Amino acid sequence: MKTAVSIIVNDRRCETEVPTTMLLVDFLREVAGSKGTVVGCDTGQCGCCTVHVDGDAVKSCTMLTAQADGASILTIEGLASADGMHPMQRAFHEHHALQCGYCTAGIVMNAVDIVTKHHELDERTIRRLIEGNLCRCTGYSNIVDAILEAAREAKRGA
Amino acid sequence: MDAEIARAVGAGSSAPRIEDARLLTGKARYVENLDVSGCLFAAFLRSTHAHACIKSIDTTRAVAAPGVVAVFTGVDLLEAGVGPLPFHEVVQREDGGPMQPPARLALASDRVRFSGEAIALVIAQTRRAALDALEHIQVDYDPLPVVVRARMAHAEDAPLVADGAPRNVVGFMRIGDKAKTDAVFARAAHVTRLSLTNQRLSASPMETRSVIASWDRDRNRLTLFAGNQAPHMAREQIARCLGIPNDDLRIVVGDIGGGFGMKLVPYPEEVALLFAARSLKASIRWKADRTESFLSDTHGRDHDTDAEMAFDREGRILGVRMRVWANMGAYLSFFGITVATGSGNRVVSGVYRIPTLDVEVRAMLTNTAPVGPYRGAGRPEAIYRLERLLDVGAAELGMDPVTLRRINLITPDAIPYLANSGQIYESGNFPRILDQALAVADWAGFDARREAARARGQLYGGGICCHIDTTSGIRPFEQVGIVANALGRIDVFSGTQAMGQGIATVYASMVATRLGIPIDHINIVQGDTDRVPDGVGSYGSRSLFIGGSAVVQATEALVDVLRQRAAAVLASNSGDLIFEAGRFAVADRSIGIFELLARTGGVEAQGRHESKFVFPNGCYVCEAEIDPETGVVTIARFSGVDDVGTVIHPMIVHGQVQGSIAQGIAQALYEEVVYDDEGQLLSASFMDYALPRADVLPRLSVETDETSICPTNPLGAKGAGEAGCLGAPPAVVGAVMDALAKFGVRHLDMPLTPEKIWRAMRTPTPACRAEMRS
Ligand code: FES
Ligand code: FES
Repeated sequence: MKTAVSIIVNDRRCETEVPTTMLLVDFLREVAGSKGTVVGCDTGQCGCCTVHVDGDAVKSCTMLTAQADGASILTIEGLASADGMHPMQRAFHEHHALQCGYCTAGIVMNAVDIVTKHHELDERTIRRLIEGNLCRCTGYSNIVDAILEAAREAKRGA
Repeated sequence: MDAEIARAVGAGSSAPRIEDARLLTGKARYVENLDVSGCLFAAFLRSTHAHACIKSIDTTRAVAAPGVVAVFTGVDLLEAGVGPLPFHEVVQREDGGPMQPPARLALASDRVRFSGEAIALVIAQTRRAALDALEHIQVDYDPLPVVVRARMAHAEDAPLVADGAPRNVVGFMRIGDKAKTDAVFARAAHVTRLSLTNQRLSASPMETRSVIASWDRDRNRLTLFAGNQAPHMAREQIARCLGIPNDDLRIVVGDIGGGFGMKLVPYPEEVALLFAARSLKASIRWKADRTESFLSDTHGRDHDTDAEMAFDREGRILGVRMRVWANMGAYLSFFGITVATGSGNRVVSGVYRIPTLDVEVRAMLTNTAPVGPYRGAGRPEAIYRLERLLDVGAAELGMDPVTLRRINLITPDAIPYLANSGQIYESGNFPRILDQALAVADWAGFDARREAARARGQLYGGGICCHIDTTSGIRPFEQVGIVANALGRIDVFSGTQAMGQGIATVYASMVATRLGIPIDHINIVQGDTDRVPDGVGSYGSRSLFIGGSAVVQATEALVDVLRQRAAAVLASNSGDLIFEAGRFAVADRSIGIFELLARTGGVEAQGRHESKFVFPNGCYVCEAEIDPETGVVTIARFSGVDDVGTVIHPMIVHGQVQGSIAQGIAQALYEEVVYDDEGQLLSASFMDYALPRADVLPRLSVETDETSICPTNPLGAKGAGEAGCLGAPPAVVGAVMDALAKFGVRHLDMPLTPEKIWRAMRTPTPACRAEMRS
């Protein structure tokens, strides 16, 4: 069975028919061609597939494409702007917050959401808020540092 | 080692990672992202039994299912002459005969030996169709009795996993001197005895195994796109299985989403998919889902040990006796047995003077997934046994665990030291590292912190571990080619493999710094057996000290050729030329590298480095707090010092140290692959296998010490990727046991889950009951 959907992915509208059972992450990768979003677990445990759906961080393997009909989606590919990487991406680079990079898109998308929604962030809070994202390489401390830095920068800019 | 060389390649400065731009913007080249057009999709049918004869497999309905292109079973592969996957023949059987492990076929044909073993392969137009068709394959099993634990597999009446392994012992090795050790134990003032298990782990990189097997119509040969850590070695082994020359198989690796040793060895799925690609003249994609990954990736560790240490009256170690049952799983993965009988035994006596030892290792077959190298690979098991013996020994002798270690350390004047493993520790200053670690940890303040924790009603303990690693692994060489073209682009070809550790950045920055040119002129070429002529791969923390040393040799060779040319251009003696900041100069004349290349054309140079085993070492100190109500452990402090030789790229070294310590802490507290008695895997998702999350891991304070650089390579480096997996588990377990000491608990097996601790606090041991009465 197929469902018609109209979804904006990184400012580009995508109107098409998809199988009713298609997960959002598969739509993003296979239909919208956004391969920066990856799958680490298929059970909603790892956060590798995190994207923004209408401004909220969502694990895209836990949502059907049909449920995102009409939504606007931001993936890692849409985060950088014409003048370069998003401050969160830059902070990850500067703090060596990634090694293999497989968890990175998901954590960065979640981190952007966290920094947008929280004005006071300390290490404990960040650790609690990124608890839904697994990283096997870094041991997390550098990730926490990167997010703290990006949060400071966002505050200065605000 | 040459301090000048380390300086010339920029040791100590951290160039920004060149990998990050693509990884941070969604442009990573993981296999699943590679654009190979017209791919078919694959799914594997896996055994639901841990041990059974396969009476029949009926694929007729699956073949007819919608979208299905073909279904293959083990018989198809056998008939086509596909051989079993090879194993490393490093030891013999206990009776001295050659090892006879069961043939590990890409698809099992008449018998399955572990739950999750691949039986059939469906190729279809879509992934969904392939998965759906699995339901239509009928397998008639005749179940056989199952054995899961290594120690139990050795029992007289244990079910046999294979005919060639009497009492399930597939391979055996002994080191040391039994008679001498027996004599020492007989007259020892004290003997500490401990039975322990180093539990089975899953490497669990965030990227599961992912493959594209592709038939190249133009050249009539196969290409395997896979995240393999050692593509040249994998090519040789897989080509052997398929019965084709090496040149008929190309292996291409893109970005790897984490390997940790698990992606070092070739897998049955890869052989089956290549066979299918050749049969169908097609390209086929497969990516393991997470449960498949838990079922069929090689696991790590899983050693049962009876360990004994004999002391004299002052606490000096007289001898060590170990009986190890190393669980191999149902088959030997390529390096499965090497981990148990090779790499761990090179550090069997750790950093201590141990006059005599007697170690027997039995490699046991069981009805579980095959084990293989996982970060540390054998050394974590070896170090853990020793450090636990020392902690328990200290308690029994009424000695301070730090003092007990200190009086037994090998002293610097004895270095280079011939250990009774037969290995030579080439450098190191173990007492200095211990002292420094205690300083970094502020060990002097431990008592006050314990008091403060107690005042809050918490249990508090400290643990320490002196670890020594052995890096390199088998095939201890790398070959590097450098090609500089007339346009100033410099390609560096290496058989080592980037897998997230940032090795391309390190190589590129070394070459750029030495040549005095911007890093963006350097292009590191890895992961393609067509483009890189020869090499070995990345494992055993070897990419820098072996691979990087080969880069140094090749760069020096390049500089030599350029110097000759510059001498000709500048009409001078090459010996008179000064090379600095990318320019050759003599008197008032000079020429830059780029101009030289433009005027005189491209250059090629080669470098090679071969190395003995090298011994990075360190000391970690952990302080742990336990909530007596819940048994939950919190790591209050984790500190230490690592001697990895020269630190070339501090940021990446610290990244490696942090990542490996995280995995070591995870072993101590959280992770365990669990099979039930029927051989069914209970920990088959991230719900059940507890990878640590950001809210449970601590901040670390671990430093590096560069006073004992490695004398056997031009960089002075020793390797930095794995020590955390060796040092963290004993330090954490030591801290928890110290906190629990008042309950009379001397040892609990990892992982130290709240439940285990809670029960231990409520089950007083006899010694503890006596104490409470008095
Ligand atoms: S793939 Fe979505 S949470 Fe793991
Ligand atoms: S960087 Fe590899 S999983 Fe996070």
